[in-house]
Amino acid sequence: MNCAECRDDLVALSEQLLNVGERQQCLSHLETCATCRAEYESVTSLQQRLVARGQTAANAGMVAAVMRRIQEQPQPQPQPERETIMSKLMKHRWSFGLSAAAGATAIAVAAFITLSPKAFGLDQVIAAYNNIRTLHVKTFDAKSTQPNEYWIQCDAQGRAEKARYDLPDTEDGEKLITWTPEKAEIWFKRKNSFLILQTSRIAPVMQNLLEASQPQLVMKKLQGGQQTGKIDVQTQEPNAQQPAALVIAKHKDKPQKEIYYVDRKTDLITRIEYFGMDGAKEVMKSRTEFSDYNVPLDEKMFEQQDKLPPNIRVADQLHELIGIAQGKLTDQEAAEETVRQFLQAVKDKDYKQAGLIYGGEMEANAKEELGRFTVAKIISVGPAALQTNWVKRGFRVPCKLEVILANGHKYVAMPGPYVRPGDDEAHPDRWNITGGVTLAENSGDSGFVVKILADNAKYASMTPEQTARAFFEACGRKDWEEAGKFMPYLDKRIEGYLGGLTIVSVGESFTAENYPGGLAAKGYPGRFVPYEIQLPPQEFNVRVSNTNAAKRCVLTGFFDNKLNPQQDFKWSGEPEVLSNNDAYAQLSPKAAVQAYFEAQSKLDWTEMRKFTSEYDVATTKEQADMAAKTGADIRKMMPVFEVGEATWVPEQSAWFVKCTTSQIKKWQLAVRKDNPTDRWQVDGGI
Amino acid sequence: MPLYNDNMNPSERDIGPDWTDQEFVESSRNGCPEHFRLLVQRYQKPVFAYLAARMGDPSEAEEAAQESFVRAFLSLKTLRKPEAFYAWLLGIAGRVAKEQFRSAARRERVREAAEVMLTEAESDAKEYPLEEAIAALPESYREVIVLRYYEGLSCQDVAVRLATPLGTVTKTLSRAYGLLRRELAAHEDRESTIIQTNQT
Repeated sequence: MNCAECRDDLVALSEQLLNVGERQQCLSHLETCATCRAEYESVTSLQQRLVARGQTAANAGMVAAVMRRIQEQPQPQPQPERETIMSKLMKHRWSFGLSAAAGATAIAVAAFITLSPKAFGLDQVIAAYNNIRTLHVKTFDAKSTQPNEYWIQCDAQGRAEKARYDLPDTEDGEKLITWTPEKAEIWFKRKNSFLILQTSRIAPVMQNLLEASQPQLVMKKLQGGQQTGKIDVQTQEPNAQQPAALVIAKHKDKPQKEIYYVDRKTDLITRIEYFGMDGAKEVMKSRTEFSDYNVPLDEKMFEQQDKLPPNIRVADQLHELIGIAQGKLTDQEAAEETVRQFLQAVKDKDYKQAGLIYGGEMEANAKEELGRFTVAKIISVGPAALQTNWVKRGFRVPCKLEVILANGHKYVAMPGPYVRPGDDEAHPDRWNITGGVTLAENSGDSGFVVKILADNAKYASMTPEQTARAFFEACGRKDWEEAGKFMPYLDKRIEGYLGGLTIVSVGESFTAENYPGGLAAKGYPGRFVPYEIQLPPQEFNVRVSNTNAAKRCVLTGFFDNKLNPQQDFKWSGEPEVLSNNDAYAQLSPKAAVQAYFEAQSKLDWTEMRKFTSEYDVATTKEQADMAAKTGADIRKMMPVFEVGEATWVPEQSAWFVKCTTSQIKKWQLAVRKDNPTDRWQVDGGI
Repeated sequence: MPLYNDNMNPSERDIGPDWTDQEFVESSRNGCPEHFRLLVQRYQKPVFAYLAARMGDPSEAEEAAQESFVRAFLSLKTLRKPEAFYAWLLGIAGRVAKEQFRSAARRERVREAAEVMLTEAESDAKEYPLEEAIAALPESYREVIVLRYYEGLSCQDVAVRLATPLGTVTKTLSRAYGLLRRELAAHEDRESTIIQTNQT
């Protein structure tokens, strides 16, 4: 190992992420190289300082206190009010129980809104919102094919008393939630699991949703923008083509607009449309629809249990006493005792007890998940390690067990269950296991439970290469249910990154000698599968300005396709006037962006500096240097940029140049098979 | 048990932990003040650590941290660069710490507890530039440092949280360490210059 390789591994070494071989190589190098040793000491010294700083703040929790103090701040004094559509909408008392204080705030801010005082029948609008008891809300966005839907029922005082919401496209897959203050039921459809509990967490969620549907608060939001001069608000009277009255809010600091529809028959807000720019074109990005005001809701909407499939996994925290009581045990003792009792229950094949400690899981489910493992001997439990990163009193309890499978195969399993108190809000002193219970061989560190599929055999027979191909194909089709069978931790970010990809090639897998987690040292056959994929094109925008002394176009920031800021170039001063400045000053915004990317692709920092800030050059160069240290040819790895047309945005006194990047990704997919399903699972290399 | 997921917010597609500081700031001041909650959540620990190092007394640090967040919220409309929210917040926290230190009541308490606090405060006081150096990091680096050290996540957990390969996390950490060391060294140089100037 040389110095560059060693330095690349120093963080992984200090974080104990190297396998035995890598670690040994690195340590051997450190023994002989004083410079690298000094570097390593410097890294670990900084890490120790950071760890100490983190520990100092481990128990800091002040969100509720801060938000309470913010709410207690005196409200601004009311200004003389002009009667306008906006002010009336805002003044109107929220029929879902908004506090008088919030109403007063709304009145106070209304004076900033300067609209026609003779706008359409506002008294009726106000009256229409009184005594609303039920509401149906749908939210749509450009990406999802189905809306999120919510039904809420309130009591006479405006408190939410029942709710149902159907979220078809979450990171957990489709979720259906029904709620009353006494009971919440959550059906995780993709996970095929159902949770019954009492929780105080959903009430504020419902409160937020109700507030989101309220005209006063919407108007208050607009006022916030108007106060700072960032939003223009106009109204449009109903006419033959458009029977609804419209409130149109245009943002000055970003290309964004909202239109609020007020139905003239009911005088209720029925729809909000959100617009943004797609290049030079204004397009609707999302919309929210409010409907069925006071339409009685069928009681059956709030019942789920008669609709559940028969094989669903159920955890009932409402009727079963979950976990074990802390008594006089310390937190650490309680964590260890919880795990000890759980393992003993598994050893005794008492799956009812094991399930209760395992988050309240039903006996049959616990048996299904754990029944295939016979625990012959509990070798050790603990010591429990506090996991301050997780919850304040959460522990991971490392264990050693002797396990025998039905086929007689015997091995030592090393799970690390996570334990915490308070999942059952009614019994906050009871501790239960929340995860990390996998008794498969060598699977203790993966942290993900891989579920056995109905057609598991089909997937278990796949080779690593077939697994990689099937995974990528599913990503290409955006079939996330299928892709999830190969990757237990698939989430929205990965989906956003890989969705729509095209496979270029999948190579032959090879044994992963340096597979993370030391699996190779344990004799475990983790594999790498070389692959090459074409990632879907990503659109973004570059902001370009020539309002500088040099009068030439320079880049000032990156924005995503919705014109949300992604990166500020942090100019610390004016661009330098070049010796041949005139030639550069003649370049159009588009040509400047093209020249910038060209210079970047050639790693020509001098040329790049003519179009961008020192900060951008420095950070790009640093990344290129880092990549070069790994032996990668950075020029070949550079994405291909297509530069489109520029659009002048007067509010920002700048051009936005639309660009598209496409990238071929060539890397190795890491797969492992240390799970009870016998299927290869993607573990990294994305 | 993997059944239960904290993420039950129906507006989860609209707002989430992957929002940038700038998005939270703009949303907070454009009519969604409740979104400020997520900025408090994101930075409560580093701000507390910063103030604890400067002030010595954890309970006063907590009070000062709360005050800093409240002031930040009330002045949010004056923040010109929302993307620099954290550095701006630390500036406010620094002023709050100074004010509290100047107050008569605090001086009295400090005198009473001088013996006890002296050693701890001196040893910790060297550390507050660390949070200032973290504030100067690019946001993507700062995110990893805050998750790793102030939220206490392992590198693997950071990788999962950010849906990024483990190798990217360690590389980001490595780069962040480099920048932090450079910033801390510059700070020490400045301090040493000030001391030398004072001595002459």
